[in-house]
Amino acid sequence: MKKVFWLFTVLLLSACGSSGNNDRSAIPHSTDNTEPLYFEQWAINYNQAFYTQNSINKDAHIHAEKSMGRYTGKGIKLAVIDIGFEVNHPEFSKNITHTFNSKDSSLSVECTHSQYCYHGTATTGVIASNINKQGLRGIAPDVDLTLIQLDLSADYLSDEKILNALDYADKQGVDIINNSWGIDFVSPVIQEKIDKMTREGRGGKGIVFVFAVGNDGVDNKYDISMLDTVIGVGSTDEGNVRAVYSNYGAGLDIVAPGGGKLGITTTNQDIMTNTVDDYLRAESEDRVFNGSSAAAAIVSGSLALMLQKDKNISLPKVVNAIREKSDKAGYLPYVNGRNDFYGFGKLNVDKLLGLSR
Amino acid sequence: MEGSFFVKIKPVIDTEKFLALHKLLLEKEYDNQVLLVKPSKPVEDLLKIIEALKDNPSVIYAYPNVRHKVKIR
Repeated sequence: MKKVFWLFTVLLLSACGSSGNNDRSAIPHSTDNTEPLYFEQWAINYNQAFYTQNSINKDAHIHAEKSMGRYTGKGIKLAVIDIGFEVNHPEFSKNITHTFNSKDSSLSVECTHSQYCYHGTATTGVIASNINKQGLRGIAPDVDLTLIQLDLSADYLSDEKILNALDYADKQGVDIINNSWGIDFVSPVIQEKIDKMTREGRGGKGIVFVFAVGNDGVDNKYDISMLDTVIGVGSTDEGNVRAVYSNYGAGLDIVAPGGGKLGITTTNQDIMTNTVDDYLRAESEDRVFNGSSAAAAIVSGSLALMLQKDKNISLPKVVNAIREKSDKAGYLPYVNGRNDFYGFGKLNVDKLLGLSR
Repeated sequence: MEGSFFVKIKPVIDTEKFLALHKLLLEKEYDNQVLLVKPSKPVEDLLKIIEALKDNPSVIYAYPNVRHKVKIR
């Protein structure tokens, strides 16, 4: 049903003429980037030494070299809805234009009371970490950030709180919303709001909603990613196949690196020493950042580059590009370009932006 | 379920009059005349009010402000 909706919308618009090993010292740092941790950002960057040392499939990254060389997300407004954020993090603090707490409508979005407080900072770092020689490179380091706190530390959350978060993003006129969280039942008021934003937002071109599909290894039939108008993102691992934990099903549109044994290098909540030790590293005995949350952030950042390239591109055309220009990864057959475990395939940013075939 | 509910009223309906008529308090008004409301007095059976409103010709939909199981991913 989801596929039919997009196909119909794209045709309609076209007809209208709208346009492991911890010995890091053995691995040389990348020579084409000044960030000290860029070499281990395997999801967005192929570093031969790091790939060899960790037995990473050569295509496990998102093939974004040309895109990230030309575009930085400048001029694109991206909202991250998450549990909370370290707003003073030197990797993205200067990108923040707005903050909003959906629980009490305050400006405070810091999280202090959950073991998952790092999560919002981690997703944001994947997207927007600056080119500043401090740690890592985000996919869209110049994107404007609207950070919205949703109380994801609670087991249950009311429609009201979710609607408040969406409504704020809508009023700020954002282009993309990253949602590295999910609910397993979507009430009509939430569905109506998302439908409206994807239809009327961004000057009628449609706000791009990116949702992580989850990490339970199950078919999430009633998940929010099932909505026709959102982009559901699952995970691949360093073997360039679907991560075993990644949920699947009809709501899945695309997969991107979310990590397996290796995590996704990114920013951490607690800045103690202001050194690379403060980051969530790809290899860590303590904590790694992996899951469809990371994959969703990678897709959101990549779509920021796409929208910078063409600010007038409509949401249906974005989705159509995902449908047509994703790599058909994995060993399962794709029927009409899709299967339930990889969606339309694995993210290839340079292809998505028309910079490679 | 929270002690409030959503009601969407038709665009031609006066919001204030509608709320007063049904003794409802406005908590927040979203776009498209989607209202988050609660009864002006505590009631035991919120669902009965919601069911009654569903039959109201001024109402497009009405349903409780439910709580979802939410998860970081």
